[in-house]
Amino acid sequence: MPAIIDCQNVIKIHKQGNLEVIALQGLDLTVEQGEFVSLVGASGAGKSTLLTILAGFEKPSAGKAVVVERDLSEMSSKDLTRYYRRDVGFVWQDFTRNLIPYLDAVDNVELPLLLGGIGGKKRKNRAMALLEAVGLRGKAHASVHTLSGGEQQRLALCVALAPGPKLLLADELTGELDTETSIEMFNLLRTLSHEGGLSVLVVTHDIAIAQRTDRVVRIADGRIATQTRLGSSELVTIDQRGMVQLPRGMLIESGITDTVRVKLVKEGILLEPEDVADES
Amino acid sequence: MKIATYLSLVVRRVWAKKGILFGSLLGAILVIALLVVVPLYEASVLAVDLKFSVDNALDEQVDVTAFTNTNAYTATGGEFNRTVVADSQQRWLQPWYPTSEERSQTREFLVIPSGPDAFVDYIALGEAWQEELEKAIEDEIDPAEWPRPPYPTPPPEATQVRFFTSPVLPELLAIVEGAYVPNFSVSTEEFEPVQIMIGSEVSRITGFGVGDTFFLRPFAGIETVFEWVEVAAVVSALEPTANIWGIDDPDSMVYLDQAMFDKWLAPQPTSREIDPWLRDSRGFPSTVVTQRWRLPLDKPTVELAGLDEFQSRLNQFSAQVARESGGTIPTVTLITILISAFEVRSVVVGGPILAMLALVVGGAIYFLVYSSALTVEREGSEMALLKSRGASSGQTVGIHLGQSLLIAGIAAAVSPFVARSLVAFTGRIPPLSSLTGGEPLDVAQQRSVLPFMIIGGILTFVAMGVAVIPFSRKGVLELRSLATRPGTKSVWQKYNLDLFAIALSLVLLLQLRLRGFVNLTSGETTLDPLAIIFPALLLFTGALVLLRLFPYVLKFVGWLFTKPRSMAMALTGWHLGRNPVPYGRLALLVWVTTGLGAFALTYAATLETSYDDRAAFAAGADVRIVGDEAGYSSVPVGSLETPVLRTEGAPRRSTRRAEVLAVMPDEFSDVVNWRSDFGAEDPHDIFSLLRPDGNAPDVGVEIPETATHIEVDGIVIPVSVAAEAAVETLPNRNHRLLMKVIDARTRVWTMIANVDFTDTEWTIASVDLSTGRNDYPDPPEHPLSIHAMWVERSDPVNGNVINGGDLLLTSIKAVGPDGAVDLDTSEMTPLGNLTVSSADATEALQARYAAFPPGYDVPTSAELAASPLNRSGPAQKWSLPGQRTRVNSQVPQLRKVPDDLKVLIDREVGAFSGLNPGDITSYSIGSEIFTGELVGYVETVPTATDRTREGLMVVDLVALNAWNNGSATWSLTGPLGAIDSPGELWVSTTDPDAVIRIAVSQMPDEPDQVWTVGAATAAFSSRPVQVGLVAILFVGAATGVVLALAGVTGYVLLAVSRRAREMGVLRALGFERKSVAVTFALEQFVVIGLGAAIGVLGGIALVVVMLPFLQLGETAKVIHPEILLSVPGAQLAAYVAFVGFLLILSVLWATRRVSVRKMSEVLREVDR
Repeated sequence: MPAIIDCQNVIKIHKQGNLEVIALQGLDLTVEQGEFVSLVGASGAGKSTLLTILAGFEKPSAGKAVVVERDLSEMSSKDLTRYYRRDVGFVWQDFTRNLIPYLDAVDNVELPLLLGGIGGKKRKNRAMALLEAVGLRGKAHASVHTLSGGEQQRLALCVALAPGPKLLLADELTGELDTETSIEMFNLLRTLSHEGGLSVLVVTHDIAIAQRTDRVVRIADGRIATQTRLGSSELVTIDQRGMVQLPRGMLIESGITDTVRVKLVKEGILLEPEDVADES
Repeated sequence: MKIATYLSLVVRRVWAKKGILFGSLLGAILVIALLVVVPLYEASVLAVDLKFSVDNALDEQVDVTAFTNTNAYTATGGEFNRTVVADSQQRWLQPWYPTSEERSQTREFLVIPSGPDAFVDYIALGEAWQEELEKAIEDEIDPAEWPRPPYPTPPPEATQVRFFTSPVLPELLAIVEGAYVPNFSVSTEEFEPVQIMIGSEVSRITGFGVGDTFFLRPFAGIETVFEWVEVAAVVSALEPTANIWGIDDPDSMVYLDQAMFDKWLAPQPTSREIDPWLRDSRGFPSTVVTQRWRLPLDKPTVELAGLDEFQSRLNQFSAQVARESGGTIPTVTLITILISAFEVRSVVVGGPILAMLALVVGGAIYFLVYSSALTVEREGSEMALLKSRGASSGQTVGIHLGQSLLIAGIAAAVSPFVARSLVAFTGRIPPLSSLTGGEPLDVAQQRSVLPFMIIGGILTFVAMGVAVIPFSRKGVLELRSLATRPGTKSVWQKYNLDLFAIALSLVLLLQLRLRGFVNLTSGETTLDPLAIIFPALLLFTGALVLLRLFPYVLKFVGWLFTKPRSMAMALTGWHLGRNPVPYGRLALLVWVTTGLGAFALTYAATLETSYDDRAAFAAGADVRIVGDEAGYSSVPVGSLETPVLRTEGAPRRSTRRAEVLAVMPDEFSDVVNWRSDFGAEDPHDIFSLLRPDGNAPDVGVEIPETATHIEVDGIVIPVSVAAEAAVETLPNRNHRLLMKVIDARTRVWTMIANVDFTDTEWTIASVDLSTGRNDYPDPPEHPLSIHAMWVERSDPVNGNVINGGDLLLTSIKAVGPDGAVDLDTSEMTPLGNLTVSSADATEALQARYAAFPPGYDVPTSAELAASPLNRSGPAQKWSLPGQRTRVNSQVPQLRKVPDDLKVLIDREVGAFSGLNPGDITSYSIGSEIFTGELVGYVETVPTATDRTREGLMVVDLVALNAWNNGSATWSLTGPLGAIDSPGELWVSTTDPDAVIRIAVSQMPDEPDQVWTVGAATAAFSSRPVQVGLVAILFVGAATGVVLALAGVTGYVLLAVSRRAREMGVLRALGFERKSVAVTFALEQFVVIGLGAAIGVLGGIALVVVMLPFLQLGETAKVIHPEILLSVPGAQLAAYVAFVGFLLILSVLWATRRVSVRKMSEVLREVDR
């Protein structure tokens, strides 16, 4: 299956006055078509930065980020507009920002279709189908502010999915939702992903929710630290330069501090603390 | 995107944001309405101004007059002229001048009383002459010796009258006595008088009534032209002030019916048989007749729309009349001048108004840009969302532009009605109501508003739409952050466009100063377009400067706020200092609002003050009467008057003549309408320099107040008996004493002694101080001073020829009820070769008997002692030089030579003359040359506006009067020397009418001019129009306040929502709700306060920039006095307080909306 996201050595440096903050430092990530991936990590790890880069909202400082076979760093303004209209859907963390308050539910869903130049009936049908899918058909003509938080978020999902994107990016999609609604939402996304071929990359803090995705990618210090596939154990990521980021807990437990002895053994590579006698 | 859907989206968007967009709509309506006011102003206010100008113009200013002078008037010629004028009028001027008044008038005729009761009966003389003539013929006397015919000769004081007639004469006259005389024939059988009608005043003066006869003959003409007339009626004018009378007094003329006039102004046959003077024709042939037509303007027909055609028709009329009459009938009308002045005024007065409109429009446009920028900032998230959903830049911008277009469209549709109502409403309020009678202004020419409406619509669309352009290329994340992190640097500063704008403004200012605001050189008065936009540009530039500097001010204020131990203040200070830039726009909005208000108030006050100042300056004092000897009039008790003499002069006989005012320093200072920039705060400070010691100049020997006469005891030293015997006839050697006496009102009187000094005896010559040879209306007024004394020969045959001689005077006394007082004349100086020496009174007797002819009986001592020549004791001997006549320039006289003139000059005169205070030089004033001392400078004096003069000089009237009028002149038998009388009376009074009535009644003639401040004020016809238009400016400023409120409220709400979380955090930290509100409100108050303060100063500064506009009067000439800035402190404070109050309320309301929210809710608030 072709990769829908292919990030290689992506670096992003934010400038704040005279200060430079490295948000991503050589991140590699690949997401396959139809894969449902969650992105976890501590605050400031670089999750949202990665998401905004993949959404085309900002460009990487270095490295290559290819989404739907398009190199985001080489996209023109027109390419980006086309990208938004056809390839990618985005759900913001603050669900109120996903919707236009003076439009009703169905109008909100229709808006991206309208921007994409899709005609009246087709647009309306697709919007209603999406609302049906998220259980909001009955509230198609309700004002946004009369919807609950969960309904608004579902509506926001509809809006993001309206143009039929190949990739859905969501930042803390369930942050404002209760667990039950969050699970419902993830189940819906899983269905869309597995049955519709939609690739989904969501940022979340909720490990329990994350574990319902095909793959959980953990970011630490601007790099992919570990990845855990559904039903398997957590794997440490080795980047293209051979760099590995080990989980801190494991390091403490093994007594490894600043230097380590590396040995090639039959099962693979063994890391030993320096104070362990060298048997070789 | 489908258009309908797109439009639907735009409409829904507008509806959803109706709160904030309503402010934009108001602003757009204001902008377009004010632009639309421009053509409406042209069409309506100018129309009213024109109507007002025409309605208030004197008939002499608007009527058309045609006239012709005919030396040999005939009925045929008169009819021809009449036809020419009537045809031309019919062809060209009928719509405006539908009627015509014709009058014909002769030159002066002299009334010659005659008849049995009169001094001379010329009829009888004529008959007697005929007999004498017949006898001479019979006696065959040489025809050269025949008696001359006794033609009626006017007496020396003959009454002068003029014949008057008109085709409608019967309608003009009321018969006082007798009956109207229509056309009639005179008998050819006997000599009958011509029946005429005389005015009641003629009847009163001459004493003639109905039935009385007299002769009339032209003032100049051949001797046979005269006519015997009989009074058939005494008449009076039905309307003495009707225009047809012109400047003539209808009661002082004599009348003939038009047909009679036509007949008798041409030769009428008579016969030698009946004519007492044997003439073949009678009547008044060859009399100069002025035929005059006056076409009264039908004032309502003059309209702005047809003004050009009207002017063209006037020219055509004049041309046709001139052409058809062969140039003998010139036409005159002053309405072209009136229209020209109106057109100039419409430019000059309209200029500032247009500039102010530009200013208000500029302010409103700023509001639009500002509110649009706010809207766009608020829309940042939405735009980001749209972008993230695939909206292109065009679509994102297009939605905003569509929204702007919708608002601009609605505003453009509504604005003409708003503007129309605005202009119409100004007709209901003062001062325009004085022109419209309180009715709404008739608003016309609707079609012309279309271009302005379109321009306004485009302007507002661009103003609102332009705000989105900087955001169109921003990325999604930048747009999302807009609402929470507004830009810190404007485009202007980013590219230093503000510095460019400042430089541009300075260049423009320089250019305007060089070129002037109004172009007067091309023949047509036009306004420099730069002048109109300049104030708005200046405001704009000022705003940019403010935007650049304001953050630093706020940082400083913020730093100050951190000093007190108040947490609320400290927080305010930190916030102001940390992020001062965004406040600049709020401050700018407040600045624009208060600036406009301050500008409007200051402008209106300055304008009003200027008009008042101009009126006061033009009038000079509460009342100023100009006319012959006006300065000698006195006024009722309670008023203060001072005479002023206006002439011209120059220092050092420069060719550059200055206007000279001679004044009584103290009185003048009390009376004059003064302004501190004329040279001193108090006029006394300046004019007292003319009298350094505080006293009036010494003009002669003071006469005690109670004195009624001056008595001089003297004698002409006789020739000796021997000398007398040597000549055949001794000429008359009597001398009359004369004096120049100056009274309290600076009048110089020539007084003459009652008897002559003779050489036969000592004589006391008495000079009556209650009268003189001058014809001043009332007697001399104490205190009196003898300025000059001289003697003249009293012989009327020989004139004033003096062959020299000596006189002895023993005493000069002032005599009155309290007795006699010797007067000391030692301060007087002998001039004109007069020698005055001490002598003994016995010299008269000694001279007489110094030599005897042969055979003469020498008188004895007893005879000598008894001689009337005998007198002893000290005497003053006047030795008169020989061979002088009255043509000699200087009369031998004893005179108090006045001190050097003290002179005040303006600095310009001082500069070109190279004079400094203290310098003594010669001055030419009038036709005389004096020595004068420059005592100081005066910048200007009210009424001194004679632009043909180059500068101004002020001197003491008493001193100048003494110099000018005090010198003795031969005057015993000839006319008095001309007196330079003060031709102006300046009065300070609360009752101008009474002053004018009383003062004018004392003048010998009607005054030339009468000025009052009230009348001068009323003369500024532009005043109600200009002040009325300022009212529109006020409406603009008031709308500005509403907009500012909308803007400030919008800004505060936005700022509050931006910082909701910050407030929540403060609450969570333990801040009370009230403290949070105070912290927030304090910030806004600081910004608003600073903005308001700068705004007031900016508004006032703008008026200063506009002053050159105001400096041009109605005629586009520089007006006097220079316009001073007038800041209405109280009104300004009230305005700022009112605006401040409203703004504070809006801040408090917005703050309260946030501070009352629940803490948990606020803390949960994420960027909206």
